[in-house]
Amino acid sequence: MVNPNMQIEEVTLDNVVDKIKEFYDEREWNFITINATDLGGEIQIDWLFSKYRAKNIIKIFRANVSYDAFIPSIVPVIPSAWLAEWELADLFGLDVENATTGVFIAPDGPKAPLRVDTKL
Amino acid sequence: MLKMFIESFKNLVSEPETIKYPFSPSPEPKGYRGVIHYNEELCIFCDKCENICPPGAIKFVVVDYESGKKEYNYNPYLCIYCGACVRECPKADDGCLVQVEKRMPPLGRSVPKGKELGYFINRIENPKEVEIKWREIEEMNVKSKEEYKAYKRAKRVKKI
Amino acid sequence: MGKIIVPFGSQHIALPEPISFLFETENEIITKVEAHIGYVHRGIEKAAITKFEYTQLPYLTARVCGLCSITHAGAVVHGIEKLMDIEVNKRIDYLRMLVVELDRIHSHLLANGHVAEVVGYENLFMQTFRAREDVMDVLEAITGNRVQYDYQTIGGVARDMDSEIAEFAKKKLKKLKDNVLKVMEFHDSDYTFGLKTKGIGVISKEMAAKYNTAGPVARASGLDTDVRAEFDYLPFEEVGYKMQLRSEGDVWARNMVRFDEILNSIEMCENILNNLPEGEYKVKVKGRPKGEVVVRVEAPRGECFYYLRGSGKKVMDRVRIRVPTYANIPILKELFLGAKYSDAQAIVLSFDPCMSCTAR
Repeated sequence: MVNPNMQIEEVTLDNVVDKIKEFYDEREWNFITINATDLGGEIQIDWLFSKYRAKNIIKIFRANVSYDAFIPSIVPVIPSAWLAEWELADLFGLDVENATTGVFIAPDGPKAPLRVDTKL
Repeated sequence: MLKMFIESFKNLVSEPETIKYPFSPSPEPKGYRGVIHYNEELCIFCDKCENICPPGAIKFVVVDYESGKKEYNYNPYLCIYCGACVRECPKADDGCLVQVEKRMPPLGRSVPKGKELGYFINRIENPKEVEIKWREIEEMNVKSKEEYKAYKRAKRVKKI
Repeated sequence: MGKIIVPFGSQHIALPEPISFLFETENEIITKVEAHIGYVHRGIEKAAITKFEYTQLPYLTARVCGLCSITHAGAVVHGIEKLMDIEVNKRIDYLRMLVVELDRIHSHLLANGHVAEVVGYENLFMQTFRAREDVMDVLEAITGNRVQYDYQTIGGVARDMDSEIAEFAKKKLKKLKDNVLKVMEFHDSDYTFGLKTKGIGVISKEMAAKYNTAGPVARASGLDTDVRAEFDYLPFEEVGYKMQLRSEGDVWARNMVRFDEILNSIEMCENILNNLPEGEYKVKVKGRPKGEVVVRVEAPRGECFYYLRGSGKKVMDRVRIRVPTYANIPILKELFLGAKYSDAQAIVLSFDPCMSCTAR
């Protein structure tokens, strides 16, 4: 079952920053977070937004990427996104633009713990 | 600021809000979620409580492969007192698993005893051994179930 | 004078939980901030997709946070019920709403008390915490425990409420309301408290929108966002929910917004207790969670977001938790720039930060 009010738009890593730049208006949309899901072999990345003053409207930009893909940063458009991007780098071991690693997990902690094939 | 001054002055002469624990008792309130009590005679050994228990504080160990007899092991010091096992138990209405309004005393020099607490805690004399022995029970739980399954399979093959 | 680097945390008298900031200061004014937040990473998201089955998830996620355990359990329960197509009745909805609002009251009182403590007003801190004790008693009577409530289960609630507890709760709420009004008066009019909180750490409405703040922090700046009004998960409007807004955006306004919400929540709880619908307290559950769902719920600190994905197996494929403090850290970092070092404690605590939620 899929939530009926989720508007999902498929994007690629090349055009995601432009798409979000075109779509995002800080007075209308609330940037929730960036979520990654390991589908086994590839990672699905969602950029999630919700609308202010409306009921149940959630907009999702979705891209399926490989483990070694380079994720562009959306911080120039949304200044509060750095935390979520750094988390991708720490917990999924992705290569994210301008990300500092070691913020969520200690430097001697496990690498990319949330990948399916990482056994702890 | 003056109001706060007056309020503070009132507090000086009013009754205290706190109790003098441990010098005065702090009884469990009504409806408190406490220890899980077990009645072996009513149990049908469906393992539902073991499967739902979030911290894994209930473990069944098969002790006799011939009759399939299982023993109920409960670690009250691992239990989070959520009551999920009682909600899951099909015989809970009869009193097989009951959550009583009683705290477990902290693990000090002695270990609490009682038939209703299951086999595990009654077999332990030294409180320092609780953790090590529980780890053994966890291993036994997995091992005995596998062996019991293999035993049953072998028996079925023999019959044919 | 040259630059001085002052560490704030990870162990600090004002911080209830480990977070560390490195402030670069010039004559008391903070010029650069570096934040470290991962001290209490417990790998709950990993545990949720490896060790725990979906039936155990509400108990696991309740332990993400000590204060908003009800919210986390409620969000997972709501998401799993959506994935399994379970409809619950009105009574269950109302009982869940009751504990969620009581939880909000005690969390807000704790936050306000902490702010009073770090600005050096120990007396007000104690008064606030004394008022808080009544709502803890109500929650204990309803759920059976003071901290970990484990009240919401998949397909219902853990136990029903009888009229005796309802009467007890009504009596306590009445007392609570008097006490809250009294403490609110102190926070509102006290001169020394105002010196340390008014005009400190101001967030404008534009800034709040730009950095996507959540919860009381956003509403104290006049940004009208509240998940209770934006997402359908419980019928809050039926019991008298009203959005509380302030426009000042400083530490003081954040405290006052929380007090406004406490009063609104008390009113909602009284409405729920007076009009509790009849019905069963749990419904039959069948099937396994399949598909994906996003859940937004309003935790006391702001928007709490869950993404759940299941494929009909016992263990879920993905459980993503984004807590309100996570959304508020970017603006917190901005806010320090240009602030005095002596105000840093009040600014942090006015956000009601929860680091063990953020690191998970």
